[in-house]
Amino acid sequence: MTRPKVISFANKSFWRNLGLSLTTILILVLTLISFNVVLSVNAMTKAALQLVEGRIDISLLFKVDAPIAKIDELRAALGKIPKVTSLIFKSRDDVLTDFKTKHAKDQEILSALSELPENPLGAILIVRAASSQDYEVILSAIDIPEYNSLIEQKTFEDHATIIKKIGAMTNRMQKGAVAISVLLLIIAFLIIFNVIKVAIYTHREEISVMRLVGASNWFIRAPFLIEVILFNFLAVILSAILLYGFLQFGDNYVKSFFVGSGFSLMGYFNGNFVRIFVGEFLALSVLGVMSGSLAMRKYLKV
Amino acid sequence: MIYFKNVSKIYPPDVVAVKDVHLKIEPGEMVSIVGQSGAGKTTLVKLLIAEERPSKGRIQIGDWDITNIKVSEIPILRRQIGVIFQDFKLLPKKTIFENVAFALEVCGAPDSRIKKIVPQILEIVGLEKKMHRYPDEISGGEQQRVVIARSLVHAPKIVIADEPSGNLDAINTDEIVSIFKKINELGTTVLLVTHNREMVNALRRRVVTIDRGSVSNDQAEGNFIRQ
Repeated sequence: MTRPKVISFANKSFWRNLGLSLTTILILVLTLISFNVVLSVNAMTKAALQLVEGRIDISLLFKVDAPIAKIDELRAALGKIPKVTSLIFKSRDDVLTDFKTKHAKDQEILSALSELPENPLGAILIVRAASSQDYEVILSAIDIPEYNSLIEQKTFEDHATIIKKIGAMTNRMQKGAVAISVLLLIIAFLIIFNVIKVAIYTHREEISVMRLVGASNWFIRAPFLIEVILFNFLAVILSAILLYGFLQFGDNYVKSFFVGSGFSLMGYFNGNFVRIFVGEFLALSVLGVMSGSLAMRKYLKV
Repeated sequence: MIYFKNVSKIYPPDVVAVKDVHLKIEPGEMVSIVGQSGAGKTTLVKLLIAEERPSKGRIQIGDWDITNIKVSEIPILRRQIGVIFQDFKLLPKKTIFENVAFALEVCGAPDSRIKKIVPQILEIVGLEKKMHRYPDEISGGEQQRVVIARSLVHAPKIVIADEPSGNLDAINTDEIVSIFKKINELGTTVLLVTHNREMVNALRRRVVTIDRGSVSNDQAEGNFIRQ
């Protein structure tokens, strides 16, 4: 019987201090928007890294005189490495055809090529792996003199530098995101703490009468906590509405940047909807109950 | 029965508000507690409703030793004691009915009980026809009667009135006294903590005089004694 009364008291308090309630919700919405921006940037950085990683491979350029039997032996050895996801072999003739197609409009190059007595290009083996870290393992597996004597050039080194740079940037951004999130949580904690203090001040006469007539501590405190949970709920709903409103327009720009990878912010938030929004609500509520209890401990001594 | 057994209350560092008070009040008694300002009367009230804890001694209500009452038990104690303060503590944005109902609401009483009890209580204090007015629309005496009504909604065994006539004229004071008598006749223990000589002398009931924190006089059927 007490529970509906407590909810009714929380509801009355919300409407009676409508200005304070709306200001609190607005600040919480701004905090949540900032948090969602941090999440978006984090997701985009990860997607960018995956995109770059997806385009990375090792190209082994074989010497012109490398025996085909040895190359086949190397292909078989690479095929046995579990981290290798695909092997594309281009014979010397294929490489020459590709080269001619690529430079079809450049007569100077084509005529220079035709003057050579034989095909100057070696075969190519393109090796792909699931993750950028796997390439180091693959490279070390084939780093033996027997195979090195066949290979003119390995083209992974340039990509490795890019991957390391993006990886370092992602790490820094993730650390930054954690720091900003902690800062936002502290702000939310202080907002709720002050809101409850103001609410208690506004209700000081009622609280004094409540104590006098024997209301339980739970009954005095619960409406404030329920009010905070209501603020959090409305703030999460509003921030989600604003976020999706923005994504209706802004997501096209994100999609065009990640064209080919299929990444979109809308997809990211849809895929993690429960985790993000329920998580935000629960985190704010736990924080609200903690800061609220702290604020009330000082002001609601029996 | 209310029993103060050698109770002292000392505020840090060494302010003695109540000193070695030994007092027994039987169920159904009507007792006036009198004394000068700062004598320790209000501290006794605060000790009785567990707003303060005694520094020494024991306080008992019936078989219940409330000397070291748990915080969670204080609401239970306060529902058994109706308290009336001089400053009324009425909520200005609530009607008379809502002010009285508030005391039941915050203790989780169902609406059906509230709708049944509140008009009955307001009838006892003669305010049934003004239940929809706001506190600033009624006189000081009527406001005091609302506070009395609010203190009665839990059907308490004890009613304590701290300076109930402080803001009232003589006519209103007489009305309030007659209401307290009525409450006492129904079997409720009534404690009047007051300065008001006329009120105490008109009652012709037990008078306990407090002087500098101690009981200096206890008359079974007495008058207000000037200190």
